[in-house]
Amino acid sequence: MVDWRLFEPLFNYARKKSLWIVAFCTGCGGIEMPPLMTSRYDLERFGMMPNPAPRMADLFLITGYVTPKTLKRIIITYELQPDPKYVLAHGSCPLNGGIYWDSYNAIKHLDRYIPVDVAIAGCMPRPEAVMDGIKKIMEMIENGTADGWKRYKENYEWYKKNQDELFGEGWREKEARRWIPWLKKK
Amino acid sequence: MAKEEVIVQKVLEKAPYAEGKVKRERRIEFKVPADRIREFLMIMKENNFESMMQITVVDWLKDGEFELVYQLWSYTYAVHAFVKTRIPRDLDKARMPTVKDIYPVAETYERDAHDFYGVYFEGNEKMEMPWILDDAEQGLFPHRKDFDWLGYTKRKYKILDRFDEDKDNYVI
Amino acid sequence: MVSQSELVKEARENGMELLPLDKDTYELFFGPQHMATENFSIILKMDGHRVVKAIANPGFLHRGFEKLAEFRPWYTNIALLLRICVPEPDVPEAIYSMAVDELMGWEVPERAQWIRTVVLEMARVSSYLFWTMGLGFKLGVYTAGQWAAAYRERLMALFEELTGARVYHIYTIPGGVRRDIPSDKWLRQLKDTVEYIKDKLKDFDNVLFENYITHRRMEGIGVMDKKFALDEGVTGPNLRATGVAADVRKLDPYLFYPELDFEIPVLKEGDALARALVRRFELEQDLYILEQLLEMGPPSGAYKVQDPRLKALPRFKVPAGEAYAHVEATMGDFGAYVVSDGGSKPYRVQIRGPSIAHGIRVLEQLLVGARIADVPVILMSLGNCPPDIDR
Repeated sequence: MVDWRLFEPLFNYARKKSLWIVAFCTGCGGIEMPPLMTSRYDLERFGMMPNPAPRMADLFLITGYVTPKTLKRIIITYELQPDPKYVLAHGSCPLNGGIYWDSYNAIKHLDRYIPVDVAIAGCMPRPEAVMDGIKKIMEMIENGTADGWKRYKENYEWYKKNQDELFGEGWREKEARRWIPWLKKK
Repeated sequence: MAKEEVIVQKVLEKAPYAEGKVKRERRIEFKVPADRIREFLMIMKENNFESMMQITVVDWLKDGEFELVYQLWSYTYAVHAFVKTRIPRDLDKARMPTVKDIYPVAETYERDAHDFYGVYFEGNEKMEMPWILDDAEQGLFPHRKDFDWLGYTKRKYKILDRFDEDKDNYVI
Repeated sequence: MVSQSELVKEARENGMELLPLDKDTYELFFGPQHMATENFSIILKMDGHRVVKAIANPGFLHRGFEKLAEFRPWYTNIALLLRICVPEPDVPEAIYSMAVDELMGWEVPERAQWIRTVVLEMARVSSYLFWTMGLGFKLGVYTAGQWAAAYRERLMALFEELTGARVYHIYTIPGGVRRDIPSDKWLRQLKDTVEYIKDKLKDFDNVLFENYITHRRMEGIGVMDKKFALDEGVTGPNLRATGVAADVRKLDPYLFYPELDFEIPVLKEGDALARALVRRFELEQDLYILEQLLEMGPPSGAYKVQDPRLKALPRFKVPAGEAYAHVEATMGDFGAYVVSDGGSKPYRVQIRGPSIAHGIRVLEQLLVGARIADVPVILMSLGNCPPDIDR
């Protein structure tokens, strides 16, 4: 038997060099993603690219504020991702609500519902700030401190409790079936 | 005579129950009783007000009334018309007939007004369909003036009282 | 071995509804985790690869702006309301400012009006470039997308120099603008940029707008006619693609537009291609408008009103009344209805986003019968912007 843990530093090095992003623009920060991906800031030189399928993605960029309705989809998408997976929260809103601190429909602390590895402050963060955050997460992946996905597994009960408190029990099934009667109606 | 006055006169001849006036250049205003709104909007559509821009609900808490402003825009005259009507703001009495057969787009605006203010539009079969609000807020009608906005937000997200020193006033 | 019908029966008994809706159709969630929809969801009932029924599901970006605006003072609202329209945040700033100007009875100085017009036109150009990029990416013409993003960056740099921010400028305020033009050098740079982008338009034509693939892909899908568009309250380029020469800048002129000379591009077909081409022609017109404005030069004078009531902003109050202002944004007719009861905060602010008309009912009707591959193209050709539906 090979002890794969011996190769972990090598794997981490490889992971840091090929971060694929879930293409899910959750808020207004989505407007800075195309400039980041295209010729001026060119994130592809870091080995990153947006990918439509969460099954093939490593990095989840929460671009901006999160509403409860979106958070349901974020949680489902996050759980669809395969295991080492990292979350980068973009802007002030996922940190403490930002300018929407008194809005009933914006999440105030995102890290109560899913683990966040790196948060970038600012509204809206400049592409350079996002690149700085990405550099930070690369460092963390290499030295093994980006362990949000492990925390999510270990403290799943706590995260689930917070999610259920916000959305009510059984929200997944409810969300999946919501539109069936309306689609059946003529 | 300015074109706005001509339009107002023309409409008022057909609808003597309404009040109308010219607010300024390219803006005219009508006040209509709530039960004759459908009739009146049909007259407006015949008079080349082709598009409905928005249905605004203004919550006049002191008067106990909702003011519904049907905003129409005429491409022919380049005039914007406010058609105002007042209905009681109690949940069981805030009912209006739908105008979606006159202006089809009104269906969307009516869903919007129902979701945020609780005005029920009779005849619009999409009234119960989920719109912008999520399950938790449905039926709370959060844009009404008597909705405890900050208190609800704090309870929902379990955030502490660290934003405002003074409980009655917003700091921002 | 359990047969499938038994499984279905058992599932039904346990209260589970299986995804196939009946014999031939199935349910498909399109978005919000999808590159084309920008956090907006469409629930589709599909028969093979054809759409049978579509339901638009907005609300993923709802933050309750209209209510939040009632809690914030008049001037603070600028920093809030511009977030309604992400691709061109200057539009909500401008309409709100224009409505407050009307309530206050202010004559905005000429210089401020000139700057506002320039900023609005720059926003239009950058928004159209952003849209071109999206169209390029959705059609698979990545070259055009990369170019458009790169040219937009030039405008972003100019915005940054003028206002201090790349995306959310918070620049147009009631009574004028927040800061003066930095220098003549900025004007020269803007002129160079306009000329540069104008130069590159023919490249876009070659690669994207006159491309055989684009035409084959977009011709004849998502067709709407004039009567349908007017009934559904469609505005802006989508309406102009059905043969109505309607533009708020001509019909209800504001700022410097009465003094400018420009055309309204109109096409008759009303399909996705016509909507794309109208936007392409408008980009050219906007660059032409910017050229004219720069030739005119900024009028001299103050860049915001001088009013003793502005001395103490915390006690700033607006007289009771109501005002409606609207401008022509790239998505369509963007309007703000502001009601004041004489207090230090607005009594009611309603923002009318153009996408609420063409993004819900029109989309639902245009999608019926379309192929699944055409859904992103129709969505992109309508120029749907979810944040202004949700507000």
